[in-house]
Amino acid sequence: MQHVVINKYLARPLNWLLQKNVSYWHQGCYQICSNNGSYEIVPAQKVMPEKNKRPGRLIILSRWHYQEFVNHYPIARLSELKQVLKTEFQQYKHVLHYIGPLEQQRRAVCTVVVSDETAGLFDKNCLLIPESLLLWQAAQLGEQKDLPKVLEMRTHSEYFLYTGGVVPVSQRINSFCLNEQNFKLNNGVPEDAPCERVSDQFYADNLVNALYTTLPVLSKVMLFKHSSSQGEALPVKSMSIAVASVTILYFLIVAGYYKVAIDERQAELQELGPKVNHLLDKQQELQAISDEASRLARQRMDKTYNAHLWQVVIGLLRDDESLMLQNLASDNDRIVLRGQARQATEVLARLQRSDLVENARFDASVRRQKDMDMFVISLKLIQSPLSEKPLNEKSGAEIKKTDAAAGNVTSEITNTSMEIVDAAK
Amino acid sequence: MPRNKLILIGILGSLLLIKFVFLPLSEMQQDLHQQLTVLNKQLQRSKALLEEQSVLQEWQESQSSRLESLLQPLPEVSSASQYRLSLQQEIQQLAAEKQVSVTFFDWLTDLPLDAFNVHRGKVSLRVEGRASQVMQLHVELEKRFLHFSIRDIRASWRGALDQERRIELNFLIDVDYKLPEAA
Repeated sequence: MQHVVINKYLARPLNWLLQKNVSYWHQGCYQICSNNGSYEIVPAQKVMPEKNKRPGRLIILSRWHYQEFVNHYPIARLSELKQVLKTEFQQYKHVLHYIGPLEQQRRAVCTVVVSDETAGLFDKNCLLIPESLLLWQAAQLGEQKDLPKVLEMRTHSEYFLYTGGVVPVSQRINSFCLNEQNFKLNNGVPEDAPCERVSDQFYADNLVNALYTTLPVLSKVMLFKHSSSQGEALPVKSMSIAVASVTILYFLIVAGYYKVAIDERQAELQELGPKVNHLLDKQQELQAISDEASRLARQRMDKTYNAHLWQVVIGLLRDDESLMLQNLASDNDRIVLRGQARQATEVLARLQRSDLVENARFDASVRRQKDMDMFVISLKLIQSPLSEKPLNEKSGAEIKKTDAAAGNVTSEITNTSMEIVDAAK
Repeated sequence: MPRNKLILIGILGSLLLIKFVFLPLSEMQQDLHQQLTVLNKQLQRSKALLEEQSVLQEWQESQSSRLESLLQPLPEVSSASQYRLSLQQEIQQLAAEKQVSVTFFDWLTDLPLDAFNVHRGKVSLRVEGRASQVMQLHVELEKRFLHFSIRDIRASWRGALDQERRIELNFLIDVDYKLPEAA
């Protein structure tokens, strides 16, 4: 249920759509018009101006205009069945097959055939909906499923419709089918199926409701009528030529624009030419120099300074009378000292305290022999030249300290040569 | 003519049109677009370059000062063999001044550094003398020859180290020098 306001605002556009696009065809065009909440089918001449008296795109075809055949085929596969149907009805141009479900390895098929004469009445592309099929489908999909019954229509085309079958079963009222019993007998409809006559007054309402109800499966119950005259009228040739011309024109215009832009840029570049070339050469030259300089700097970066090692050694000998150094050698970026002293740990502690040593450690276990510790100590020297500015990246204060200390090495070595003798002794 | 044939001819015509007209035109357009893009970039770079003349000047100055500081310690020599000889003489002279004897001098390898025609030679040097004088020689080598990089040292002596003790000091030195650029 929708709100009354929504209904009110929906009603008009829906009516417009119905009136504009949906027609009922029974020996002429009818329109479905709304009247105080209900619908009625009125001849198109009454509601439409003379020039717009053509049917809409969706045409509900009255039972009077088509034939209906119900057959049973012992074919389970749909594709095969379709092929059989295609072959069987190949002489008809406008045929619609409604295929029922598989029951006991056979399928019931309701075939609707619209004659060429009827189809020729419509001169444009449109969708034809057989009315019996529409009403039967609506009865299948309806919210309140009634018991299977026979509907008797007397409004425009007169016919019976049985709603309980797996496919629609209908028959026009004529000399072969005069009443409900005849219909049941002719079409194998159960005897106990009740018959209900559909009131003329509500017939339009039934059709509109059926349209709403079958909307999701509308494609199953309608037939497309292709207008041959309209197909020929489509100016494919001129359209193709126009598209091709526009595309070629587009390519040419864009290419022309590019050409002009290229000429402009080239002229501008020519104008800037010599100056830019000179600058480019200079830039390239500088880049090459920069690269080469970086390469050289990288290779000279690992320069090591180790002459201040002697100041460290002299300090050790002076401070520890028991110290006897055996040899020293470099190992990668470290200096390895071998020797003996009364307390090897004291030697290491002194080295660690030195301003010229970055770090020091035992490289092998200390061995005690005759009151003396045999040790192997490796140390890393602070990297800076003996004088001038340091080259490494130590912090300012540390570098100053190191630099000052290292600067005195030469004089200290000379001055303390005597001390070395004493200390060693 | 039957309709099917007409449709086939139409499709064939369209394909030929695409193959021989649209695709070549499209390729031409792409080529021109690429050319234009390249020129645009070139122009943009040229303009940017012109605007950054002063930056280039500054860069040149900074480069030349950097280069000077890099190359200044390196001696420029006219001939590598002559330099080897003169360096050996210089070291021997310095050692003599310090009363230290050079017991071994060997020029092991000599390789170009692939920058400004700088070469690096590897020298193995062994000196022997009184401890204090050998130490002074080491300090002097490091101070005087800024283009040296002492890679390896090994000092040995007999007994306890003292002033009179004779020690033997081995060096492995990288010697950088610059040969003149080829004209």
